[in-house]
Amino acid sequence: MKIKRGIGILLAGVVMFLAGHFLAQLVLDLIPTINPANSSAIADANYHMLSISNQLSIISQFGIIVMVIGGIIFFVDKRKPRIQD
Amino acid sequence: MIFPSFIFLSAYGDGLASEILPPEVIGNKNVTLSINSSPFLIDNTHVGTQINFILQDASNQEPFQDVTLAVSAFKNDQALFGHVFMSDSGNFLFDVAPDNSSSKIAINEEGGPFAGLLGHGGSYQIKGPVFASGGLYKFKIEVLTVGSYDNQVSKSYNAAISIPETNNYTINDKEDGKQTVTVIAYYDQIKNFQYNSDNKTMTFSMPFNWSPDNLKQVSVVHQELKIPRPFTNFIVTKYDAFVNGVKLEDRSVSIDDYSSDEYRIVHLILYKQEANTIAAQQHNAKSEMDFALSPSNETAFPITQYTRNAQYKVSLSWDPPKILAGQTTRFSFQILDPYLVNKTVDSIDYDFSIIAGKNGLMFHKSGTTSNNGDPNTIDVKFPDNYTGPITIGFENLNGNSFSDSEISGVVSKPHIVPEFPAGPLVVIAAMFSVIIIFPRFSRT
Repeated sequence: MKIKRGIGILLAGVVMFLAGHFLAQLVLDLIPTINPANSSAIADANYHMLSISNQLSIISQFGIIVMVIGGIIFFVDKRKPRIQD
Repeated sequence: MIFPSFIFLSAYGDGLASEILPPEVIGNKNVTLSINSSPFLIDNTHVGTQINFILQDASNQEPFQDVTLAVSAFKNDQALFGHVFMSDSGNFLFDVAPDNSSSKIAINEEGGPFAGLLGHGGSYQIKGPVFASGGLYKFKIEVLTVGSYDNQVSKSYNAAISIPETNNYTINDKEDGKQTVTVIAYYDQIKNFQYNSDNKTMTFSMPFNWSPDNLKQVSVVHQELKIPRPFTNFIVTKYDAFVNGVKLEDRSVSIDDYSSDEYRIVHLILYKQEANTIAAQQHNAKSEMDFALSPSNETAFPITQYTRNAQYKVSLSWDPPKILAGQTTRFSFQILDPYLVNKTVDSIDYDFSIIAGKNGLMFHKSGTTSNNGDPNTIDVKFPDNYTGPITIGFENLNGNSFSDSEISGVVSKPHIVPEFPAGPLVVIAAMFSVIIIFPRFSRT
């Protein structure tokens, strides 16, 4: 089965958006915030997990851009045969 | 803005409904954390609490942008929840809905399933078995980012919020019978409320951390006791109050007869200075405050009170200090300038009333105060058939219907002493008989 490249890019954008957003939330929820003894290991974990969450958020935001690009390509490709006709 | 990463500092806060923590330096900025909770006063069936954190620049009170906080909440040293919160504006609003039907705590950012995708508004809903009761809630707040979500810092604040708790206690007094005393604890939950009818003392305890760090930050500990007016043993002019066996200064105990017709309200207020004094004087430093309140044997005359419109200050005393049924009491009063110390006002008209309870007029006199500042005296003969609470009222001072003031008192039963005490007479007669008879028998 051949998928049109516009739809492929659109689907990739959707995957980036959904996976990025929900994984970012998941990582954020998993950050060990309760640290009564001021453990530096937990503080380090906070630092790195927050970085990962931020990067996943950026991926999800980039996914929206990819979806838009995918949509544009899909419609451009759709119009091309008509112009050839 | 430069915010170096991983500076471990901490600031502390005490249990209040609103406060701004002392500023700390992050990078080149003085940063404060403002904490607010509302509603401030709740009953025990409240439906929710809103908590607001704002991370702001101490110099201009402007919130920082792109703030990430890791907040963990504790009560009685037990962790309630921990979560990372983000806000583009630096302003966080937590809508806490207590729900004891669920054992899990759900924390959701407002904005649907894709909340936070294009920005963080800072509004969160916290639902679960948290904040269902009053008391002291402690927060550990780690600032993870400031200025930008990529700019990671590490800064720790310790804060606390007190949610007042109201409790009613039914006690049994030997003379006044069953009475319901209400205690509103503004700092932390109280426990072990007891009343000893023999020495007329109410006692209760409250958890309290006496560590120097905590004492440095506690600005006020406040207990409010609502005493029903028919509880005449406790309607006095002065109270003796103790915390961990240390007697409180008079300024820590204040009486409010204005706010309620049904209750005398007694406030026990310990500011930082009083808390430090108790910490230095107490012998047994356990992690609680043991309160004791009893009517004082002394009288706090003169009783001074502002009129409702704060135009005058009424200074009142009476003799004998214990008002007795069937006997005459001399009331002495002065009308003072509210802004000057012990300065009486010029001669003004007044209405003086004594009311049984709150409604039954017992005595009334209209007159004019003395011109030379001497106390004005009124003798009142109290009827034999009334004992209980009375209200001593000053009205229409200088013809102004808003210039009035009410002071509570109690008419007590007189202790009837027999005019010819039979018991001692019998004992004396027996002694004389023995003295007379014994020498006669000893001769034989």
